[in-house]
Amino acid sequence: MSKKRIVASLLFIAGGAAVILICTFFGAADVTIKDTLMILVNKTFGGFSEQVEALGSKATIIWSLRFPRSLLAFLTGGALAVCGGVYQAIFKNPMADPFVLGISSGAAFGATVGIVLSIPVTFLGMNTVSAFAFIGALLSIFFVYNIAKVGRQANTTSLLLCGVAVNQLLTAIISFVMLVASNEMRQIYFWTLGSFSARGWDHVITVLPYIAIGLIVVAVYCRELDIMVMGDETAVRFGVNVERNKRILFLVTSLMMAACVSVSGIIGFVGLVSPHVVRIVIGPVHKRLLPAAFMLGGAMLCICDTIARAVMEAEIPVGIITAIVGAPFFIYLLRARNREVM
Amino acid sequence: MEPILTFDGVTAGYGEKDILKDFSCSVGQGEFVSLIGPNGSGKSTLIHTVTGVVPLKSGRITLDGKDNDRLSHMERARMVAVVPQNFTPSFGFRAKEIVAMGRHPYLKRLQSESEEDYRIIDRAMEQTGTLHLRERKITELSGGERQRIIISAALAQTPKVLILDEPTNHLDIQYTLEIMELMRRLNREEGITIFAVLHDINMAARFSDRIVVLNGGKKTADGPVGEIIREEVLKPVYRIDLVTRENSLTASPEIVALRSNREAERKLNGRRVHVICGGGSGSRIIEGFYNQGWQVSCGVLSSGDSDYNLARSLGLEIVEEKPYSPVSDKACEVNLAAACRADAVVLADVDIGMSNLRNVTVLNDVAGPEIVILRENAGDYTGGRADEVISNLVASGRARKVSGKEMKEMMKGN
Repeated sequence: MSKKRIVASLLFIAGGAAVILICTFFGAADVTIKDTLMILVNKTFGGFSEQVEALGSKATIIWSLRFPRSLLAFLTGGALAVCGGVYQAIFKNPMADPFVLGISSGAAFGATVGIVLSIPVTFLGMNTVSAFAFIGALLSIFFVYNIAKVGRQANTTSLLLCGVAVNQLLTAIISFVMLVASNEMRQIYFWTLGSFSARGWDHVITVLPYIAIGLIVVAVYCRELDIMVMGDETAVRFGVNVERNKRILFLVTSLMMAACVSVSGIIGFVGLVSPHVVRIVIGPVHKRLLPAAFMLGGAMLCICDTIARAVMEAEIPVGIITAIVGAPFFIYLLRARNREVM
Repeated sequence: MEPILTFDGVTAGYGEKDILKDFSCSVGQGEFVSLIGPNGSGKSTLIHTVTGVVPLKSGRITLDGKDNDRLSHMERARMVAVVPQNFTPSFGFRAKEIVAMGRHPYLKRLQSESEEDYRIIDRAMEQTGTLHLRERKITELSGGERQRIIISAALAQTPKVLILDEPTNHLDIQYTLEIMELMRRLNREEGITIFAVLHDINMAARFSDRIVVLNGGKKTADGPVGEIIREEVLKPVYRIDLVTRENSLTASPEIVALRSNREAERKLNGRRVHVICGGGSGSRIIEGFYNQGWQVSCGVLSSGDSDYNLARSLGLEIVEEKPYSPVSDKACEVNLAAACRADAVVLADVDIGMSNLRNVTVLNDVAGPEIVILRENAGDYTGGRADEVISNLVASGRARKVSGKEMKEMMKGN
């Protein structure tokens, strides 16, 4: 690694930490930024025990409520952005986002079933709704992939079309269920808008392994993603095993997305926009693009979630904020730079 | 010559359909071989079999003595590089980043390019004259520059064989020549073996050592340029009327495509016309009558004359004379006989000199057919003798002068 890359990496990490810290600081109960920092240092590394003890319930608010929630929002936002970037490369399509293959509607369908049945089960450390959403997400992508597959190859256009079809179908079924089960309608609707409300350490621990493994695998494929953008045939000519790579990348990103969606619901826009913004600013090379997209997506979602919980009287689903904040910014950027998106 | 790329009885295709049928061919080290053939003849499929995109149904492809089927993607990419037809990347990679992709087959996962790799990348860009474009975005480059960048990426693979898949398909003539000249230089100076699928037969003839002809998935000819650029080889493959000639400006044989072959669907109207022409004066007339279904003969023409070539390409009856020779008694007799057999005789707007004066005087002896004379711009270089014959014919009512428009009406049979 060159010096430049190390400096850039450290800057990224410092920036991410600063965003999480500041977001943790904001909230209904007043905690000074100094106290916030002290509590976090105390819980992570020890020290400042007396001062933290004196803060009483504030320590719990910071450490058990706000901090894990901010961290989860950051991780989820980052994962969404990375998956969006990977899908845009695989599909060579600027409209691709992490949900093109039907993960979102699959998860929503699973969650709907979970909410309506409300049987108390836990699965891989998830509650009923999350567990159903997780399974729903994976089933939908499994269906999409296998319908689109001809022989051992999955054509990207048919994958996209199958994704659209499955999305439409499941959305229709969810709407039907919402009409029939009108008692649960509000709960289902809120789930589909996405939220980090009442999410804590359990959720962080649930998604962390999927995200960590996913990011490591994606990192290994960065150079091949650059080449795959050139088109499948060109990539094969450069010695890239395109079909195998697609399978591996679909697998890890699907697991990552299924885990994220199952704990947070469907949060749109972050996965679509973050990679684009980064591409406009620093170019399309994935070894730079994906880490930057992770940081941007993470920061964006973390800040939006803080707005969602701290600004209005009643909490707003974060998915609404991401779109309201993200869309105008994206349009501004497109206009200002007046360049091609891709 | 050591064979570097060998196809041995290759049959391949999509699904049930065989696109390539029992194709065998060998490309030697350092050769420049072109593959030509009409659309749908299987040229692109052949390239896809080498890259492994289309699997073989039977047969074998060997690369430098190794079975192509058993090579991994990476191993294959180290031996063969392919320059695609067109390359329109939508993401704004920089030129150097695209060329660096050519080093991918030599790098392990997570391994970065070494000094050596960068040296090879720079050299590849030097070879194509694109070093000054290295920091530019590919989306900002012109078609020719972009194609040269993708060729650089192929060269960065340091391949044993460079395969070109209609590399100039979407380029205009300037870029096409630029790319083809680059290919020849790489072949001659760097010793890179080139196997090129080309649409343009004349480019193939001009730049390659050897041409392979593919038609309907089968190899129909394979040999040095001079043996392939022949009417009898190409006519049945492309089903057009064409003539071949030596282009003295490029010092290579070339074809002149005349028209799609309509012999089969032309309906004869049962009438004959004899056209007296030369020097291109008859081409429109011959073609006009031919297209309207007349049986056309012409004379007396010097062999090699442009009207002669046209008539020959259409397979017409020609009364022929040696170049630069006056019309002989024999030719004149044959000409008269052909004219008398026709329903109409046309004297085209041809310059008359002493050597072809007999083409005009012969009209005095034509009995039977209608004689039609087109005189607009052509000169009389016989001291008025030709004009006198024509005036007499018209005055006596044995012939009539017509305009170009009237001639067209006549072709239609009105």
